[in-house]
Amino acid sequence: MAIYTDFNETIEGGSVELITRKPVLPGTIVEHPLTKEKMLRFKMDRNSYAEVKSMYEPQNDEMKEKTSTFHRNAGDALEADSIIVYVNGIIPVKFKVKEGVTHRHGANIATTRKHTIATICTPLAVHLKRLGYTANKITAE
Amino acid sequence: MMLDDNITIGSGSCDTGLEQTFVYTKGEEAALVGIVGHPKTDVKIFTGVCLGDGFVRRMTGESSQVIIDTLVQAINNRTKERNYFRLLSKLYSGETTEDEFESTINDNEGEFVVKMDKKPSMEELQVAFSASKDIMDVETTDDLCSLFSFSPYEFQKVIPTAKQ
Repeated sequence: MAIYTDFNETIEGGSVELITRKPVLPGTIVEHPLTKEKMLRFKMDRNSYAEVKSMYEPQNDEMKEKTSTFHRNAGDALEADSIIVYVNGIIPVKFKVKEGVTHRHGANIATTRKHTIATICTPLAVHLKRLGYTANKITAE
Repeated sequence: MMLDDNITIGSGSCDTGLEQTFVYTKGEEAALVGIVGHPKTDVKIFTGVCLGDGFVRRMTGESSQVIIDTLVQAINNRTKERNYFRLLSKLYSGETTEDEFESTINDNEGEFVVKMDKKPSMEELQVAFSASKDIMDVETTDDLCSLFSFSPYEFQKVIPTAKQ
């Protein structure tokens, strides 16, 4: 049970609570690259939070090995500006607005009931700067 | 004349009427190519030296094919997203039922489901990075991967090998 804030940190659960200022819906249907399940992919933008509410066990040992870096314990959470969420199924998740979550701002809240994977997004600018695709290069060598 | 940071082209004509062009590229695929052409016969003669097969791939059109394939993949993936939105709007407006919605998507996965299973090559990454600056709504690596059908996990493995 911990809160993760680094790029690419991933949680996986049978049920996950999602809180964000701005959900970017309806998203896209994708075949998840590891599980090969048909999942709805959408982004949570700004002040995003995702927490595992119920655990999910991978179907077999191969999948366990492939997803060994995923955090699956109930209470494991991601806290970041932008989080990508994959939810099993093809119907968009319905968010409810709750006012005054951070005193000043409201938030959109939803809890998934199906297999869910959430990952902290890496901004593309990180790679573009490192590989010299922008004039604004990283100065620390 | 400098086309960009990596390619320089020089040209001129000599007393015999032949037109001469020199192409010089630097970096990993450094090449010096001389092109001689006769203005009347329209025949061009190439000769040059290059490192690796990068320049040869460019001359033979293999690189162009990678660029075309990568961009076509991106267009098709955006079309799949559009197809999904169309169907979803029909569901929300009551034109179709939830069962029909699900069966339509399950029966026509090729039209609606974006695959993210490709291991990107360095060439494909170069195309994706260059194009991403001008494509709308590509802000994160996951956006890039879903647009070009790259697996984000393979992408993470390939990216440290990319040279600065």
